[in-house]
Amino acid sequence: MTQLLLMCLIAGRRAAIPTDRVLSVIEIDAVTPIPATPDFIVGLTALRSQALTVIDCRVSLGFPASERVAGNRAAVIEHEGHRYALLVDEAFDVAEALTAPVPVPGGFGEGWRHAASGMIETESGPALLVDVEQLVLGPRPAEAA
Amino acid sequence: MDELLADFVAETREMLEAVGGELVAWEAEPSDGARLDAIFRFVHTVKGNCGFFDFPRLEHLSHAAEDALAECRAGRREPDRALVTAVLAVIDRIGEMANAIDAGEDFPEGGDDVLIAALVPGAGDEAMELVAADAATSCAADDSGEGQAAKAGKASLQRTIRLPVSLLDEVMKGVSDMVLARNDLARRLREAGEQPAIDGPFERLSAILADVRTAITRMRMQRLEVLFGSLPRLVRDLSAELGKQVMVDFEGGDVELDREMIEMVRDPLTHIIRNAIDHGVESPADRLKAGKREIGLLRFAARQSGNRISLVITDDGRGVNGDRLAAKAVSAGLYSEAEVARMSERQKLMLMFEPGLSTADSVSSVSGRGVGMDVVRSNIEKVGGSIDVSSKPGEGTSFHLQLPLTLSIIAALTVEVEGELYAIPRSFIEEVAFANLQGIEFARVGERQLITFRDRRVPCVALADVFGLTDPRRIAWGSKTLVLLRLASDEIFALGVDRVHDHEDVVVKPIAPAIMDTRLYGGTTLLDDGRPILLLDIPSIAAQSGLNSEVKNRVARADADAARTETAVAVPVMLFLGLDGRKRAIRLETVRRIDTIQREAIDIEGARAQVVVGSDIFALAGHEFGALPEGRCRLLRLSDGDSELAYIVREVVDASAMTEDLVPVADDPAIEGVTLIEGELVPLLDGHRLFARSPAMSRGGAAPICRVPEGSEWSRTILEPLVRAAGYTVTSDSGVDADVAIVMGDGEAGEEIGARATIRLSADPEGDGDAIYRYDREALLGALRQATRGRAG
Repeated sequence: MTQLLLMCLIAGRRAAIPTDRVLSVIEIDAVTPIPATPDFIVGLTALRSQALTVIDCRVSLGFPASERVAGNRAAVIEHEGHRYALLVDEAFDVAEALTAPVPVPGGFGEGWRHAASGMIETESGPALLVDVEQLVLGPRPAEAA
Repeated sequence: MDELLADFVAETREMLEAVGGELVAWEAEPSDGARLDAIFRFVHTVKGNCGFFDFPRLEHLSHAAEDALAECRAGRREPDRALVTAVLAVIDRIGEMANAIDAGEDFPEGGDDVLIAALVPGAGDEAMELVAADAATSCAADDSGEGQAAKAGKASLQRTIRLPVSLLDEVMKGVSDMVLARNDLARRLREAGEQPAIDGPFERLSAILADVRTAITRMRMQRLEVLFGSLPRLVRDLSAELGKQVMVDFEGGDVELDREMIEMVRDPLTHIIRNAIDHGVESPADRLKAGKREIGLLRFAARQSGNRISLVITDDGRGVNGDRLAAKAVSAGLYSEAEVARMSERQKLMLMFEPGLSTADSVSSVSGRGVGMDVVRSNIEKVGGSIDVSSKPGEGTSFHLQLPLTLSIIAALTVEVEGELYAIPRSFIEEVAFANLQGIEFARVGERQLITFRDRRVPCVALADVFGLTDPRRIAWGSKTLVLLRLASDEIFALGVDRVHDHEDVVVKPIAPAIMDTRLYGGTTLLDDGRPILLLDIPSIAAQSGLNSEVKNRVARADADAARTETAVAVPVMLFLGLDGRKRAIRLETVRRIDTIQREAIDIEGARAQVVVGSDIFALAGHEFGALPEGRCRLLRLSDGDSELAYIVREVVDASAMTEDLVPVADDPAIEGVTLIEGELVPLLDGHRLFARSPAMSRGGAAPICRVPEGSEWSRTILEPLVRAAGYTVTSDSGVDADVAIVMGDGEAGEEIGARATIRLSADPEGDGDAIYRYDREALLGALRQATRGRAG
């Protein structure tokens, strides 16, 4: 079984998103803020004729918000018929998963616990496999659900 | 009905194709249960459809086959070769009949009984042979050249195809993308300046794209017949259940509606029908007693007006008793006696849409369980529609539904708050007012901000406050623009925004659940430049701000209504202070909008005065009364229907009504007369003269086209600007159908090259026959005016 992963940097950590969930990787241009929404929703951005909801993965994972939005990369995913742009610190290459996701002894730490489904080995080293659904739901998924 | 029929034929054909393989497999293995099921489903469906369409022969055939197959499925009969052959023959016959129906031909009589007889268990060999022979003859006929030709002819009649809606959506999305790309390109082209070589084809592309977009939108349309088709059955079942007799009558089944919209109104409509039959239509005995026909009538009438559909559902029952509704509302604790006493009849009827109110005294199995018309109304509003009711006791009740043509495109007003744009559905907007106008008073009652506008106290919220962006106590109300919104319940509230931008038709897309959770937004849409903005959910915002249950507001409005009827004969005017500080009035109909611009946008040179608003240039009037103010200037944009001009004022006072007589003034041609407004003598501007005097910019109607000589430096740099200034669109493309052509010297006359008139210019100051000297400005402009007048005549 070879799973392809989009390697990226979220909150300064190496993370991996399964490529079969990723529709495309875009560079965030302009974002329309949405008042009265939770912090993890940065706003709306347009991809051709579609509006994407921009999610700040840092906030979803319980970290302080990203300082810079415009110019950052984001992975476009679809969840329950809606499209989201997951804002990451940096997006790298696509890599092949060398192992199945495994738990890390001692856990991934607060924040990552909800959204990471395990550690995965790649050629460029270990990374956390993130669960995009949890990122879309925002921090503390138990309440958001 | 034709459409339904075509659907039936298409569906039957489709199933025949699918079932073909099963038939062959079944023939090889008659005991195969799965095959049997598939074939059974086919004949069963055909039977059901036939009953709906009144095809007795098809129905008999499929019914007989269904019976035989049902026996097999129940295990009471072993399928054998004889049965297989007989069923196959029936199915072939169904296919042939479907073709005949499609071609609009009559299928030859007879032959069915033989087929049906063959299905009976133990049917003799005789019958078997007959079937075989019958099959053979039809085969023979098919094989002959004539048969083939006939078949081909039938095939070409089939001009409809069935497509998954998702594919249409995909195409629609593609077209939307193209429109955005076009808009982007348009912006870049504008920035790059005029390039005739590119602009022409680009215009054509835009036009084609607009056509394609319209066509795609129409693809998603379905006739209302589709919805109407299912109603007679519903009415029949309901009236049987309730012991009533009801007829249905349809009008406007050919009106087309977005198919998604049809699905969205199905439930509310069903509910209205239930209510009408349950509460509206009386029992046959009561009807006779009331001198009506025994059978009640339920009428559905649909009409398209502009981009909205009106659907009226009328019953001829006992009508709704407004007083009873009011009494219910009082006993349910929704209103006080005093409040309902002041309500008009219509307001009482509208109570039926209040949550928790049901007119039924007894709960029947059909309706009257408290979930009712309030749900209907909220569902209709959800799709951007509205509902109204009228009723005459003893004569019946009508529900008036107004629906947008499509779910996805709505008319909206864009507003700005804290630098961001939002869209408000135009259906809610009553009026837009500037907070710093005279006549708007602000008052703070407790924590609620109120404004007094047109003698009404209207609750008011700032959108920035709704969003939690500012402290409600520190809102600078004076600089706000107030959008007065009318909810479906007739309540009015004002939404304070920083600026109002533009009217736009927007394509609304759903938004993510997390954004939905705020209950502030109804969807998202993209502006022309591709920027996404949010569409506000007005009823929900009102509810969250606690604005939708303020009874006082509603009653206050009732008083205002009464006041309005008294002054119904008044002429609405706009009062303003001119640059000289004097109060003047102008007829409100001519005021298209009020703009605020910077002083720099005004350009006055000699007798020419113009102003730039947005990207348009308007002739300016009113500046002769005094010095221009520094900084911000207020403009009244006046329109006579075809052209617009801008009238500069020091201050817009208020809209008012002219109730007194207009006294003509002989010595000032600029005014129509003077009149008394609220005890003050006010001159009324003469709109006619304003437009007659100003070289107004032609708006709306297409500008006349003038062709200028090609390839001449003089014509491009000197002539073109002059012609443009005279209100023409200039072209040098000889393929365009021009209104007037300007030719040099003895060039070809305009009529010969496709123009309606010709202006001949000459380089010789002395003139050259009927030609105009090319620097004789007056003569040239006169000729151009003459040419336009010719066009109008």
